[in-house]
Amino acid sequence: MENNQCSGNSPKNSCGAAAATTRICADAARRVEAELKKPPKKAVIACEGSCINGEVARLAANMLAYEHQRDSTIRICLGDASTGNSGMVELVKRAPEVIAIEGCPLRCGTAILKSRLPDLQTTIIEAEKLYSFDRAKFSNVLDFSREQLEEFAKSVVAHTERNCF
Amino acid sequence: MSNGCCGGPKSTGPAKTVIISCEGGCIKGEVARVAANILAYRLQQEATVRICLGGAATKNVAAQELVAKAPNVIALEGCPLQCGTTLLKRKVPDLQPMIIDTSTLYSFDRSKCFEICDLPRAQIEEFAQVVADYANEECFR
Repeated sequence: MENNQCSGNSPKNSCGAAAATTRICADAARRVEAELKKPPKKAVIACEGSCINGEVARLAANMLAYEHQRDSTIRICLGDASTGNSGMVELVKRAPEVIAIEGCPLRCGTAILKSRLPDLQTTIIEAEKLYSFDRAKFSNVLDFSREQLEEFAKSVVAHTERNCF
Repeated sequence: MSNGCCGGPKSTGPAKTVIISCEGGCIKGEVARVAANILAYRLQQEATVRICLGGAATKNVAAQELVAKAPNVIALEGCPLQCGTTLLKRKVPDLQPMIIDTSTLYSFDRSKCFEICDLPRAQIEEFAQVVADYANEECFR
């Protein structure tokens, strides 16, 4: 079994020797450092769930933050923001709005982030209401083509842009 | 149907190996997530169940029970923070997963690439296949 250390062989692949104990992801910390020099942006999180609902929410968050609204939003790593020290949580704290694209009614993205920021107020997008498929038949993300999942995600992005921008 | 999200994974058969991943929002999280899906849905479909980390780490008691009863839990972590394991331990404190730091199994220029869209989809899937094959060999041989 692979041990728990980052053993990248080159500087390009290095995570930082103390990453596991300091809970700092060097890659995320670089991103945060650059971002903190700019004006605050809206933070985008997703539930990241492992089923179709989560995949669509995650895809929508990526499309929104990395493509449609990349100048006005920042995509947050939920795990880092809720448990790490790379600075992602600082990007959330200073954000004028935190958009949570939730895959299902459990709203886990918000719930997880609130475990660290109890007073957090997110604008929740209930993604599953914005597209439909036969939920009795399909749950596995591989049940649908990438293109179909992206079509679902586009409807979520369009709704989010209408309501948040 | 076995990998339900909102209602939680339902299983009446023997306990299966649980697969979680960190689900981080960068390339490393995407590779870990895709690898977890390949492992659970293609390579070891009968022997594993893919757990929704968000549900298991918050309110989904059924998923927490599946984790607690699983003969093994495999955590495909995207970086050394091991957030998947950290989050899940909040609800399953005695969790002892087999942790794979997937970031050690492939390389790219991290000074240039961070966002999921910084690499072609085919490249991410290629990395994920490497990780899934490694996990399959290490955990199921």
